[in-house]
Amino acid sequence: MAGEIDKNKILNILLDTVVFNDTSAFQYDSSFSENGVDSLDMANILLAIEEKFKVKIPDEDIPRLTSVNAIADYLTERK
Amino acid sequence: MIGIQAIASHIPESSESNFEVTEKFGLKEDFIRNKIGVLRKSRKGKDEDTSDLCVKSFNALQQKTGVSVEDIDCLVVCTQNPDGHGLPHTSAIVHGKLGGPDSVAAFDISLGCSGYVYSLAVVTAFMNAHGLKRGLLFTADPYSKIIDPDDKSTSLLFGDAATVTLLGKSPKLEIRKTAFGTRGSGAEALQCKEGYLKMNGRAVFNFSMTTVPPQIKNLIEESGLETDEIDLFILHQGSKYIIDMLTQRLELDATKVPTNLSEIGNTVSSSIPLILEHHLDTSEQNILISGFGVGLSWASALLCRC
Repeated sequence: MAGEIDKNKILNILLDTVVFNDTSAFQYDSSFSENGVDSLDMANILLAIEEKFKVKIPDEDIPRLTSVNAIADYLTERK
Repeated sequence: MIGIQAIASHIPESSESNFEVTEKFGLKEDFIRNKIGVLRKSRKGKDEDTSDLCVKSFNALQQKTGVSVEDIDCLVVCTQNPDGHGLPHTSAIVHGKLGGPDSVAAFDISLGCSGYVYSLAVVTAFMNAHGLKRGLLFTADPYSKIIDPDDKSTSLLFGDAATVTLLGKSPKLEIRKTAFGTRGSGAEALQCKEGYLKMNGRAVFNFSMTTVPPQIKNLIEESGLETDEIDLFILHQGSKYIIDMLTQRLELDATKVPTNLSEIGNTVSSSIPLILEHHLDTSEQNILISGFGVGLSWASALLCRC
């Protein structure tokens, strides 16, 4: 992957996957778990991230993927 | 050609509520209702074995069709939770309990959630190849035998049930086309270890989302049809979330994707025939069935009305 990670792409994946009461309140540093993202949502989000960014995310890396920022940082490390 | 003449089922009267364990697992009722989709899981009696569930489904079939076991050439049980250790095979035990004649070909098929589709293909081909006229295909896979009640990832999902499909000539539905798949490299995602089912939910979800839609799309295309010409999609009832996500990925009309897991749970290989049973005498011409799960194994078939 070349170039900076587009956080909007990650955010859009999140918003396509999870129904939030107030999407405008969701920021790049908003905590997934504190905003009602459950384990099934997370599996779906991660699959979409893997497909979009062509990366495999092992189970042991999941605990650190707690926000859009955290995912962006992770994907940057994986480049 | 051999095809489906009738389907009957047995769902145990006893069941367990998932709302009784929300506190134990730290879950919200909304998650149970709208994501898992299983409110109650059917449970066989402690003294009942897999063969007993089969016999009860046959009794229901007799009530429906008047079929006699004396007329049967072939008796197959699809299960991965057989009576005892699987020796003798559960189909032989069922044959004995039903008092079947010596001329019957009886064998078990060891498959889980893909089991009905595979078994339908195998048994109809077997019967066609060997001139057999009437067969019984049972699905009975009571996971209550192997569920750890303290395992959040499995204990909310599975229910016990049995079905029997009467196969013969002049059927109501026949198989037009099939597709199969196996990924043994993913076997660890769903396995029985030390007597308990262990499931990697994420791995099973990823497998379902990435293998089932392409197989279904290819099957429809190779059948010379468009997606909107399929009248009904009966998907294995893994969980509400999996069914919803597959419906989304395939861009299906949700009214064509029936579900039945809320009061019984994921009944493994019985989940498809439990729904199909209610569509044998309806007007749908093209019915696509798709099962996927333990193995990892998946199979889809196009059934057409005769």
